[in-house]
Amino acid sequence: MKCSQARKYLSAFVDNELDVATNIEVLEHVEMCQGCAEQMEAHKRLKDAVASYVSSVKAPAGLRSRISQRLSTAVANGRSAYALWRETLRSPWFRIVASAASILAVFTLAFWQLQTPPAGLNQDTVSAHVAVLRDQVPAFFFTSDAGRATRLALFWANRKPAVPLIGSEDFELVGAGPAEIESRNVGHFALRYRAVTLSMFVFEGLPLNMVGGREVETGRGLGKVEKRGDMSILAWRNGAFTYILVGRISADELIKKLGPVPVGK
Amino acid sequence: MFRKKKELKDAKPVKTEQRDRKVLFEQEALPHTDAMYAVALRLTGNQKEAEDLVQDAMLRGFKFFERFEQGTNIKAWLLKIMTNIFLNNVKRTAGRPSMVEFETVEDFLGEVEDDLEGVPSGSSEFRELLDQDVARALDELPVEYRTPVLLSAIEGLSYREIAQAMECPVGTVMSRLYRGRKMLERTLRSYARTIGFLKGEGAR
Repeated sequence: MKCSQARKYLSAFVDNELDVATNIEVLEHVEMCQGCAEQMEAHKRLKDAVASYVSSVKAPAGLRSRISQRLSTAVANGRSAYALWRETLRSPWFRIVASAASILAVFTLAFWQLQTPPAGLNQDTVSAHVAVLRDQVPAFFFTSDAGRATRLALFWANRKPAVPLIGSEDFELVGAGPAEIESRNVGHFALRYRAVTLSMFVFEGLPLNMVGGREVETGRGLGKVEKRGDMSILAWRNGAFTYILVGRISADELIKKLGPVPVGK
Repeated sequence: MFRKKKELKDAKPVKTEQRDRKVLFEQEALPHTDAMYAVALRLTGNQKEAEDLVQDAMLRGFKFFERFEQGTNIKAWLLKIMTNIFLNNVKRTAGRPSMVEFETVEDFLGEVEDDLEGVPSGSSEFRELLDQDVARALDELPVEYRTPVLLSAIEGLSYREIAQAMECPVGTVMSRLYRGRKMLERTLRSYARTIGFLKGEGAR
C-alpha cells in the first residue's frame, strides 16, 4: 500500500471501521512509514479532542425535567381506544416477547439443524438460514453465502444465545461472515467489547506455530500474542480451530477477559 | 353515554401501560441527555435551539420507541433521530441549491487537499487547547463535515449508524470524516499559533 492510499484510510483506521483486509494493509504500512504513523496519531488526537469536548458539555439544569414533562403531555394527550389497543400490540414488552419468541424459534431450529456436524449442512439449508437471520437479526451480515467459512460463521452466530462466542458476556457479536486471508477461507466475526470493535478470525487447521508473536498462557491453553502499534493480536487454539483476535486493546486485558473455554466445548 | 363508560374502562390499564412505557423510555434515554445536548449545541450553535432539538428528538424517540430494537445502542438511535431532524430542517430552510454547492466544495477540497501538517509525536499542543477552542473550530466546519466529526467522537457510534443518521452512504461518511478532521486540525493549529502555544519546530 502506498502512502497516498494509506492516508485516505487513516481516519477510518483510527475509528476501527476498515474492513479486515484493508485494516491489515494499513496497519502494515503504518508500521513501516513514520510519516503515515504521525498522520494517524494526528487523526487520533483530533478524535480525542472532539470526544473530550463532547464529554465536557453538560445539559442545562432542568432540561431533563422539561423532557419528562413533554413526555407526560404526550402520554396524557388524546389517543383513541383503537390507537391505544394498537399501541399495546406494539408496546416494547409485547414486541420484546414476540421477537424473542421468533428469534428463539429461529435459533432453536438453526441449532437443531447444526447439531449435525457442519459438513452435513447443505448449501440450501445455509442459504435459508442466512435469509432468515438477515430478516430477523439485521446486525448479522453475511458477505457471501458460499463456502465453509459461512458455515462456520453461521454455526457460531446461531449458537450465540446458548454459548457466548468466546466465553465472556462482555463481548457482543455484531457481525459474522466468511473472509479470505492469504487464500485461506476463514470465519470472520466482528465483536464489540466496551465500544471497541474487535475482529476475530477462526481458522481451521492452522497450526499455532504458523502464527507470529510470543508464547503466552491464555487461560485456555498456550497461545500467541503480538503487539503492533496500539493493536494487539491474540491467537489460541481450540480443538481443530485456531482463533485470532485483533483489536485496539491491550493483550493482557484480552487474555483476562477471555476466561475459560466456553461451555459445551 | 355507554360508549364513554366503556372507553374509560378500557382506558385505565392502557394508561398505566403508557406510563410504564414512559418510565422505561426515561430510564433508557435520559442518561444520554448530556451527550445529545453536546452534539445539538454544536449542530445548532446556540443553547436555545439545542435544547429544543434535544426535546424534539426525545419526543420522537418516545413516539417510535417500539421501533427501537431492545438491547442495541439507544444512544446511537437517539442521536440518529436527532441528526435526522436537524439535517432535514437545514435542508428545508436552505433548500436544494446549497446541496449542489456543497458537492462542488467537496470536489474542490478533493483537489487541493494536503496532508495534516506533521505533528511532532508526543507534542502536547492540542492538550493545551481548551474545549472551547475545539467548540469554536467545530463551528467553523461546514455542517456536512461537522456532523460526522461530532458523531464519530461519540463512543460506540459506528459509521453505519452515522451514515443512517446522515442519510448517505458509508463511503461518504468516511471521506467527509477524513476531510473534516483535516479541516479541524488546520483551524486548531491556526488558533494554537495565534495564542502562541506553538513553539520551536512545531511552528513553521
